[in-house]
This record gives sequence, structure tokens and C-alpha cells, in this order.
Amino acid sequence: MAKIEFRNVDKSFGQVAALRDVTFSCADRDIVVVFGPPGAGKSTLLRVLAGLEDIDRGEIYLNGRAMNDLPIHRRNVAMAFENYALYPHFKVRANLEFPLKAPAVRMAAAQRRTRLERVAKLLEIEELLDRYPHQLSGGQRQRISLGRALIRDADATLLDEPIAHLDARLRSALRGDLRLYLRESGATTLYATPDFQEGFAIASKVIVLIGGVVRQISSPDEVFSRPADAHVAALIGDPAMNLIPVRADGRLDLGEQSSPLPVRINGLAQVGIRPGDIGLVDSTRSGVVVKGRVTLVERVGSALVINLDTGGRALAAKVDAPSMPVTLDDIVGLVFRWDAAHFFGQDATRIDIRGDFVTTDGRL
Amino acid sequence: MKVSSAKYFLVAPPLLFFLALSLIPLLLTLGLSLTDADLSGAGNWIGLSNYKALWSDRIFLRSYLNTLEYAVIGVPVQYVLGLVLAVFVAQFQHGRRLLRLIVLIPLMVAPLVVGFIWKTMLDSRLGPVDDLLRHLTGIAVPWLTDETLAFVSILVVDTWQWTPFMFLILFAGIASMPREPFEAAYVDGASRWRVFWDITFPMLGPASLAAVLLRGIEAFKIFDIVYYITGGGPGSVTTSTTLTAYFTGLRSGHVGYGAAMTVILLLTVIAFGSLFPFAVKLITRQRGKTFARAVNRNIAATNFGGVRA
Amino acid sequence: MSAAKIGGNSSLRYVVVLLWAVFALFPLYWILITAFKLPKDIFRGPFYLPGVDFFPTTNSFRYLLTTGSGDFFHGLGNSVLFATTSGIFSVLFGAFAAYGLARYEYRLGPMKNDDISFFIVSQRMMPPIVAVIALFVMYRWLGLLDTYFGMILIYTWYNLPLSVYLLTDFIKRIPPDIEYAAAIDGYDRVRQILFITVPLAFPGIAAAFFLAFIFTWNDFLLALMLTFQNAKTLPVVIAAWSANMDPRWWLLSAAGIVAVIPPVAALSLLDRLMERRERMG
Repeated sequence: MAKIEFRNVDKSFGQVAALRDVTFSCADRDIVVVFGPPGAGKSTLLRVLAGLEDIDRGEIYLNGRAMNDLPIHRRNVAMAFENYALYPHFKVRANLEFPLKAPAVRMAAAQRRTRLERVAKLLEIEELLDRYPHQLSGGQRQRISLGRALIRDADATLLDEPIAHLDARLRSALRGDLRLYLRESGATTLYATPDFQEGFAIASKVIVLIGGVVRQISSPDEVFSRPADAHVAALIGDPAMNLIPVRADGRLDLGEQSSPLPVRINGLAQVGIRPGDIGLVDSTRSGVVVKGRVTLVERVGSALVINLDTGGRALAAKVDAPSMPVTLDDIVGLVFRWDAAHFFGQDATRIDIRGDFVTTDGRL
Repeated sequence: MKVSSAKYFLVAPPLLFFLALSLIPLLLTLGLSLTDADLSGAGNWIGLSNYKALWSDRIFLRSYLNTLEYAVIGVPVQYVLGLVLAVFVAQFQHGRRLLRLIVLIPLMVAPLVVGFIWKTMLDSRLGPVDDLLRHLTGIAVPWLTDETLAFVSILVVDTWQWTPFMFLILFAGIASMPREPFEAAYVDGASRWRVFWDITFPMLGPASLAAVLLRGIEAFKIFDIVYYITGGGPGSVTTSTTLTAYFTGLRSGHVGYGAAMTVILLLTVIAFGSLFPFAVKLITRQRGKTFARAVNRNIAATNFGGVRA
Repeated sequence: MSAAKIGGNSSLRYVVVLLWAVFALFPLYWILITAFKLPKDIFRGPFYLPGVDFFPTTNSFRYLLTTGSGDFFHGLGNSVLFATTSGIFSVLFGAFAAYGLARYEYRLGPMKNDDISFFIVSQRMMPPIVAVIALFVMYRWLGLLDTYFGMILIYTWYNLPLSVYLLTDFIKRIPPDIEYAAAIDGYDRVRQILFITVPLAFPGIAAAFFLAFIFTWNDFLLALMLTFQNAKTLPVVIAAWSANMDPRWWLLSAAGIVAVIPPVAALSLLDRLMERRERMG
């Protein structure tokens, strides 16, 4: 039996539809990331499960219980709010222990202390336990809020962008630790984030939500390698995937230039090529069909991100070690790795291709 | 979060109080003012005769004029003094809280007791004020027996008690101001006077409006001080509307007539309460929600500094 | 907080504040020493310094506590009773209404939350005399004149607008998210209010109580009009004393001192409370 189940859930705020026909299920102990751009409805999805909002249509089940008419305090859901919502008049210690003292729980003091220590250690907040929220920085408060959600045995643990405001070091450190902690504690988790790296690092399953509609539900790898549609594809990658429209004659629309496609597909509308799948070569080399002018060179980690202009269309390429020096305004030749390309039809849905094909310069 | 109709029980008590002890008495007063009722409530309908009579009632006219004068003269004086105090107290780094407490004390004393205190202070024979004056200038001033001076005395006492009120609101306003504009101004070499006129005073707009509005409304109600110090006299030179209405209505028993007096007073207060902010907005050409909200915040500051913006 | 202090002229502020302090405090000093004077000290001309011009005595206070006790204690007791009870009731009812107005949406015919608030708070604009003349007639008819119940009722009414106003403001400042967090943590609404809302609103509740206490304690007009003997309050007693006899200023001063102490104490308590709350942010 699924732990969390949404069936045809609709939710609107006035004229704005925040959730449309949302249907999915999660098994016990799943760590599910609700991934989508800002405004996609991620928070709404979490809040609706928590009971902070009512739904207009559909059913929600948690651990087999229907949630539709159940008041918040009986749902056994834990939540870390985006704006922390800490209790200002309690010290950190009391903030964390508060859920464990609720009427339905009434955990013994010794047990509370164990959990407190564990959570405090995980989130590196041991020295903060005797302070008040107003004495803490934003990042510290966020950790307390997270801790308050993690300390319980809730049927569902809802984390709404819980590490968004922390510094980079803490964020990457927490990503791994969180995943471990969530796995260990067996908490069924819904984790909302617009950051795909963060989400995919933690999740065992990803729900892609765009415009209130569920676009894809699969493992992180699957979403990454086979995005269900162009909208999803546009969210993945750093920098994001290049989405290039296809002209009526079947060629890639690159502004003033165009490139033939190695394959003819009916109904093809867009081709998605990851920045890492664009190779840069000397523009004078034979067989180069597309040239681009370098408009920006940026170092990101150990790689270089190069923005190119092909005469009206902007593309981003990413190379780990450039085979030749690249500077602003250089003209370079572009080579596309077609076997790594993604194809999308008129309605933006994915088109799967089978078989090999050959590029025009003979290279695959 | 939605709740059933149980929530109406929450607001029921104040609404019931309002109904029973404000609305109904108000309507009753209006009704009584159109009769010649006595203390038992029994009387005949006489329409607007009371109001017509008030128009030529010398004592009532005097009391009404006095009430207006107490407000129109007293409030600006109290405002200026309160402003001066607020500005200067704000310049202290240490001991602010104690100073503020000291300044506020007169506000805490029951108006009746204030009346008593000053009656003894202003007594020509035995009071310290005249004693000191005698030592300094050789003259004793008949504060309470001379017509003009009695009026002035009431004003002085009223100012003693209510200046702290102005101070309270204005000080809270100053205390919550950001320091950057001031720092910038001093760096630019502005004099303190300039800074006050160009920065402090304008920024105190909402606070000033709140202070004058609230104090103004209160000022029309003046009673206790006049009752104790002069009893309205000498003659009826210092009497206020409330006092006259009290004497007429509940002492002499002309309840209907007294009711009519209170209605006039009510209309005056309402007129002031509605027109004054409107006029200010017009004059300063400041409209909109931010100004109104700022004024509200400052009205809330009358809760003795507890609620800050 | 320190905006206006920059560049302040150091000597002028001392002068101004000192002048006002003298003006404000001298009258209080005066009745303080008058309360400790013998009649002859008063009638032989104003004396200023205890121990120098005259010898302080506790005669007045002793008189108040013994011979004059009847009226004085009666009035004092009533004042304490009314101030405390009206404070409690107005805060209680005010808090309920404030919570409702701050958290829920109301619809009474065409009226919504803000309209309801306005109705309750606008009563402050009405001069008490307007209602009291009619109230006198009503109370007379209902037999509530000069009764404890009648006065507690009227003083609760008197303080409700301020309580509602203050507390609505206070509760609105508590982010609803904190209550939601408590709900999610497993606490039903009543418990949320008990453990979260009330502690956080406590400064407002205390402020409302103190203010109600002070206003009731200092009231004269309502007590004058609606009481005679049974339910009369301290200000009424003081006024009656000075009407009936030669100015027995030593007694009146002593009574005045007693009348001044509670509000001033309430003010400093309130102030300290606000200070503490400021620090907690």
C-alpha cells in the first residue's frame, strides 16, 4: 500500500490554478523530490498534504488514511517551512522538542534527548541549543526548522526548499548528510526544490511539476537522460539544455545559419542539445557547417562555459579542457553530438529515436 | 483556515457591550434631547426646542466656547512643548527610559487629583506658586479668582497633564526613525536647526497627526480639572460643556436639556475627528495608504511605547 | 534609536529637560510633603522643606487608616475592585474578539472585519457624558445605580475599545505560520492558543490590563454620575471631602498620594515589560 497517494488533486487560488489533476504515489521510506521552477506549485503540493490548504477536487491519502477532512494536527505530517516559523519564545532546544511533547506523542524525556542529540549533530547546531531564535542567523534558523521536522516519526516529512538560504559549503555538505539521515530514519519525504542538482542528489524518485501539472515521475537518472518533454528538459543542466527549434524544411534553426539533421523525423519541433554535447573546433576545418561567435567565457568549477551566437541564436557550450584557446569574439566551429541529442515534437513531448545515424562530417 | 460559526462567539461580547452601553444610550440621549425629561426619564416631546434654547443660553454658549478654546489653544501649546521635549530627550544616550518615565508621570495622575494638586498650588494665600511670586516680584496673582487668570490656570493645568501625551507619541516617532538621513545631513554640514526642520519634523508627520487627533478628541471632554479647581467659575467663566451638561442634566434635573448639550458636543467631536485628518491630508497633499498606515502605527504608540512600528 | 542624538547640543538638552522635570514633579512633591504636614504647617504659610521648615508627621495617614477609614477605605477598596475586575474582563473579552478579528474572516450582513473593528474602537470618540446621561436614566430604571455590578459593567465597557484595538494589533503581529507550525507539530487550536499565541501576545495582554486598570482607577465622571454611597470610588471620596469641609489639605494630600501610587507603579511595570519584549525581538 502506498504511503502517500494523490488522486486527481486540483487546487486553485481564485483564478490561478496551482495544482491540476495531480496524481502520484510514494511508497514507504521513499525520498521524493518535487522539482520544478518557481511558481510551479511545489509548495502548494506540500501544503495541501499538510492540510494548510484545502483541495478543490480529488483525494489525498496518507498511510491509508483519507486526509481530505482531517484537521492539520491529526495528520501526523512534519514540515519545515520556507520561512522557518520557529517559536520565538522557546529556546532552540524547546523548539526542537516541541513536536515530541504533543498530546498524541508524549515521548519520554530520555528518548527526546537522544533524538535531539542526533538531529543536533547532523545539522551542526549543538552549540545553539540554549539560544533563542532571534539570536540566530538566517542559516542557523533554517537548520533549526529542518531539525524540528526531522526529529519526529511523521508519516510524511515535508521539506520546502529547506537548505535554500544556507551558504554553498553547508549546502553541499548537508545534501549528502540529509540523504543519509532520511534513509536511516526511514522517513517518507517530499522535498521541494527548484535546484536540480540538489534534488537529484537526494532523491530516489523525482516528480517534475511545471505549471501545476505533473510532467514526469521517474528516477533522477531517468529524468536527466530522458526528460519527458521540452519544458522538463529546459530545467535540467547547468547551464540548461539548449533547445533549438526545427524549421519547416527539417533543418535546425540557428538564426542566420542552419544545420541539417542527421535524421528526418515527422513532427519534430525542437532539438535539445546539452552544453556538454557541443564540441568546439577550428572554424577553418573542413566539414564545419555551423560557426558561432564567442560572446562570453565563464569558468564554472573546473569547466568553461562558452556562450555563442550563431547569428541570432544563442547557444551555450561547456568544455572541460578546451582543445584550443578561446576568447571573446572568436569565431569557432560547432560540432553537435547527435547521439546525445533529445528530440521533441510539436506538443513539446519527447520523441524517442532508435538506431544510429551519421553526422554530415562523418563523425558520430 | 476556516472555522464554523463558533468564531462569532468570539466577537459577540464587545459587540453586545457596544449595543447595550453605547448604541442604545446614544439613541436614548438623542431621544431625550428632544424632550423635557427629568431625572426619572419622564417628559414630553418638545422637538427641537432644547436646541433652540441652547442657542441663546448664555451659560451654555460660554461653556461651549470655553471647550473650543481649551482645545484650540491648549492642543497646539501641548504639541509644541511635547515636540520640544521629545527632541531633547531623544538626544540623551543614557537614562532615556528614566527620563521618559519622569516626563510621563503627570499623565498618570487621576485628573481629579490633578485638580486637587493644582488647587492647592494656586491658592493665593497658602499655595507655593503665589508664595514664590511674592518673594520674586512682590505681587500675588489671584489665579483662581480673577476671570481671565482662572481660564489661564485651567489651561496651564491641562497642559501640565497632557503635554506628556504628545511627548509619548512624538518620542516614539523619533525613536523609530532610521539614522541614515541624519548622518547624511550632518556629513553634508547641515546645522541642527536645519536638520530638525527638513528631516525630523517632516518625518514626524504621521506621528504629529496621530497625536493632535487623539489629544484633540480628548480635549473636548475636559471635566475633572474644571470641576475641582474652579467648579466652572468664577461665575461660569471657566466651565466646560461636559460640566455644564452634568450640572444641568443631573444636578438640576433637566435631563432632556442636558442631553441636548451633550449631543452638540458629540457632533463637535465627530466633526473634528473626521474633518481634521482630511484637512491635514489636503494641506500636505499626502494621500494614500502608506500615510494612513503610518498614522495608525503612531496611534498605536499611545499604548505607552509598547507597540513600535 | 539614536537618530536624533547625533550632533546634539549637550547643555541645552539638560536645561530643557530639567525645567520640565521641575515643572512636572514639583506639584507631586508638594502634595507629598503636604501629606506629612500638620494643619498648622499648612495654614501658617507654605513650607517647602521637611525637617527644615516643618517636622513631618504621619498624622494624616494615621487618620485615614483609623478615624476617617470608613469612607476612605470604602472608596479605595471599590477603586481597587473595579480597576482590577474591569481590567480582567475587558482584556478577556478583548482578547477573544481580537483573536477572532485577527485570524478569521467575518461577515455580519454588509460588515466585514475592519468594519466590526471600527464599530468597537470608534466608541473612544464618544465623550462619556453623551452616554452617561442616558445611562443614568437606564441604570435608574434597571436598579443598577450605585451597584458593584453596574460599575464593573460600565468600566468593562469603558475599556473594551482600547483592549480590542491593542490586542488585535498585537495578535496580527504574530505570524500565522507559527500557529500552523504548532498545528503541524500536533497541537489542536486550543492548545496552539495556550502555548503559542498567548505567551507571544503576553506583553499586549499585560499592556491592555494595565491601561484598563489606570483608566478605571483615574475615572471620575462615571463614578460621580452613577454612584452615591455604596459603590463610590476613591476620586469621588476625595471630591466629596473637599466639598464638605474646610480644605483639610493634609488629609486630601494623603488620599491623593494613595491615589497616585498605583497608576505610576503600573506605568513603570508596563514600561519594564515593554523593554523586555523589545529585547526579545
